[in-house]
Amino acid sequence: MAQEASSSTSSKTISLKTGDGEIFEIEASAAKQMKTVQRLIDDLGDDITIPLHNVFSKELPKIIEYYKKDITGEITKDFEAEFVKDLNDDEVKVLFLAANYLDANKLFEFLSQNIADRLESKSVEYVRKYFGVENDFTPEEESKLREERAWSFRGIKEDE
Amino acid sequence: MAPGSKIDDSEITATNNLFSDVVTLTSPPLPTLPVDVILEILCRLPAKLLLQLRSVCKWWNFLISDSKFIKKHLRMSTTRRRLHFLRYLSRPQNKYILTSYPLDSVFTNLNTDLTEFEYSPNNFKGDYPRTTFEHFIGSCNGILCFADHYKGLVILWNPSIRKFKDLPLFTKPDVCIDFHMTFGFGYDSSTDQYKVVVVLDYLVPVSTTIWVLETEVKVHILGTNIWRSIPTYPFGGVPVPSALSGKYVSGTMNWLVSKDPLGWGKPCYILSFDLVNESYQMILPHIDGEDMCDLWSIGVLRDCLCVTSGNDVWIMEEYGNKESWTKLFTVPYMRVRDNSHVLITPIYMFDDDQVILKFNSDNDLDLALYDSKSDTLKLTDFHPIDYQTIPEVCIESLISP
Repeated sequence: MAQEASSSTSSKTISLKTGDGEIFEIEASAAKQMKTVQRLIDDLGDDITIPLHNVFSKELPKIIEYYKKDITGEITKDFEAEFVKDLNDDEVKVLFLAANYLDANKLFEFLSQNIADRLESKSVEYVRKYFGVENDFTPEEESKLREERAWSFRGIKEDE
Repeated sequence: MAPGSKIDDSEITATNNLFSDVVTLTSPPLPTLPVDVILEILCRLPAKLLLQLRSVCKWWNFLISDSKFIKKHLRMSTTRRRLHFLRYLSRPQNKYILTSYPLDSVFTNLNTDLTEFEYSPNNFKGDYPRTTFEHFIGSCNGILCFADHYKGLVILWNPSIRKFKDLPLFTKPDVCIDFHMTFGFGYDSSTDQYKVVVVLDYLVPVSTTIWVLETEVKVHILGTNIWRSIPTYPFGGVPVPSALSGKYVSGTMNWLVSKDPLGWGKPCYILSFDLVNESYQMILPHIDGEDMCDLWSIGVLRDCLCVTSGNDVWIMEEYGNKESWTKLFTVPYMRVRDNSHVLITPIYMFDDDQVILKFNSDNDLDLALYDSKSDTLKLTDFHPIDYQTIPEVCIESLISP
């Protein structure tokens, strides 16, 4: 299967198929920003539908929307704020994982920062649940740790 | 995989598994994240939360304390800067109080969101004079360094993790007068070590009526407990007394030195000390084809060495390159209370080119904001309790002093 000459790829669209069977189109220049997709194009050619087993129809349109704006150079702080405004913490996480899977660096970094911003005011318990981590400290070990850093668990000024 | 060859589904699945733990075709349950992805989020969190998150589980406790993660966090930490002030209280007990504010307090004029920390040093010796002269020496990678000259104390402190360290005292020469110490604090990236360097200058008697100037240089490496003497600088002169400390810029320590043995007169030069190979260089701002030696103060702005001469502020854009000195701005004339000699100390330059300056006139110390775009200068209304001292700007980090 011969590769097409690169001068014609700028206006070409690529078909992507999500894990739940839906098909979306993106421009080839947007596909370049998602390294996983680009690798699959390099291997499979750009004429067939690229299968993305781990990205679903809920997330992919949002990702495509982001990179559409990126190609035109229009990504601003306002756009990014609007982009995540209506997403809850779990929706952002799924989007973030999809960006990781697609190796879409710019979106990945933006979402890392957004998740960090969301977690800044949260508790240890919330963070544990969010990342799906099990607490393997015994109650004694955990209370000792908290005691050592008691000031960091409080908002008030500390005398030492 | 050769371009153009066919890939079957099983290879794609295997590749997918490398990127994520999720391999279902229906709506996935909330997935657990791979470690490197978790770290990308964690390194963007503030230090205070990260210390709490060490309680999440044993693995996170290890991750967050790991020096690789701490360095990654430091690299991301450039947006969290605070302004720190220092003062000393002798009653009810000897202690230093460090107060820190968010950096934009100079704009908002708010005294809220301050954190205060009290510290009583362990090295207090009863026979030191009761007066104090405490001030910041500098900061590096989130660690603040301050000294109390009369007590000979040097203390390192990381306000983000509330860890401090007293440095060992060192012995003053037996018979001398006019003893001065000018400290500098910096980082040697070649050995991943933090160093405090001190220039000592004093007069020793060679006969009953003749006193000679002597200078000494000592280095302390954090983690050791000695001050190691190294050969002194060969250019002569003494650190200018109004320059309270050396300034750290990209692996070098810099002091403003006066050729006048008492330190008050001109000509001056900048003594540069390379922390890696412990060698000295003499630096003079090269302006309009001439070496400028009427230097009033030195500082660091945007990680570059800067000097003030009268109301002009010059910056060396590329360290060591004498052609790279450029004038940053001229501070407009400012009415001060008694029109006496005004020393301008640049404190910090924001991304939008506004600069925090400290004015040291004989009567008062004031914080001012200079906007180089509109060439306007105004005193801030920001009056923290202890704005008499020169504040230090410091980023956040998890590094233990």
